[in-house]
Amino acid sequence: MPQFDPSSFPSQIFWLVVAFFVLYQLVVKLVMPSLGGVMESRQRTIDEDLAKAADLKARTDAAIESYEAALAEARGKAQALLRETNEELARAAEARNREVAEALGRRIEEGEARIAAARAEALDGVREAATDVAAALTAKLIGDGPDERTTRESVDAVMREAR
Amino acid sequence: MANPVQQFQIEPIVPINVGPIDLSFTNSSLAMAFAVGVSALLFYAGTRRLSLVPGRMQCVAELMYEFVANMVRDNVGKEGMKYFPLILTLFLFVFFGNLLGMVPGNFTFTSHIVVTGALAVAIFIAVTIIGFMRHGLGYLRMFFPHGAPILTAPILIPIEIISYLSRPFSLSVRLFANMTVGHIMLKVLAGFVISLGLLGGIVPLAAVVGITVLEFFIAALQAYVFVILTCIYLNDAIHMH
Repeated sequence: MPQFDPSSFPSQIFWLVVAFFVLYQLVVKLVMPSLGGVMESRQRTIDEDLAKAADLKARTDAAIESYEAALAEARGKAQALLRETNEELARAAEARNREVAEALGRRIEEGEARIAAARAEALDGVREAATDVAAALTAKLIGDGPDERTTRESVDAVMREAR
Repeated sequence: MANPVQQFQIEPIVPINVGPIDLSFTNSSLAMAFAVGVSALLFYAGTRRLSLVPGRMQCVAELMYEFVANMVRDNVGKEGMKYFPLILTLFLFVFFGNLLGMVPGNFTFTSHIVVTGALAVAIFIAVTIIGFMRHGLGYLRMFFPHGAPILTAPILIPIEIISYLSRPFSLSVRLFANMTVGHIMLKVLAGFVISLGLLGGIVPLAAVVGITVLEFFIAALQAYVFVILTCIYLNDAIHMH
């Protein structure tokens, strides 16, 4: 077999070294800077994009969080306001109620007082009339009536009985 | 019918003699030049118009580049990327040497033991030097697996030394034998096509077609095996085992 013929060995090894060296130079000078560079920059671009996406996501999350916090705060505020207003209205209604009740009570008392006064007046009038009538009748019947004092007392006594 | 090993004959094209040493530019040298040329062409076409989003040729070149880069990264790790240009060169050289050898009439320089042997010995020496440079004399621990009982040392150490020393041998013979046998087989079967005539020749012809396909596969596979073993040896030297 020609593979085991040593006479060709020096030539093969020599050209192997030459070819390999040329190819190595090619790889180092041409392939590594251009292809390696573009692939590296692509990787860098991808990494940067991913980092940017992660950053944006973090910012979105923060925005959502602050939005929810604001929402919760506003809701809390609204509820507090509602409760306050309710209490205030209830307080005002109670005050008005009390005021009106007091005014009505006063008017009832006044009315009652007026009624009592009118009644006393009426009773007085009745007694006056009864006394006059009694005095006049007694005078007509027996000519001479009793004195005014006796007549009043007897009318009073009759009226007390009638009551 | 031609002698099946005649295809491996070294034929000088440009005779060069330096003193008593014959350094002629031969058909083997021409095949090496083709391998270098095709690699150069591929990467020239692939890097002519570089862009972040690759075109067709750039994709092919990047595929090649990424394939070897991943091989180095996976088998050797980040520290191995220092040797990546060398590994890529080795892969391109062997890969195109094997594949262009399948072109009829072209010489297959990887079918010569002196070529594969020179590559394997160079790899062996380089890996050994890297190992000693990184670990000093501690690299000798390679020959005694960590955690093995000390009593097994008299058996284990010779075995490990023999297996270490046989690396360049197995590396070179694997590639050389695969290439040589494949080409001989093709030649012998192709010879049968002629000698068996029009009718009988159909069977060996079918076999030749099948084996040609197989040989293309083997050409790529053996280049891969050669380089991945180099990576594994390099990993041993860098990380020990």
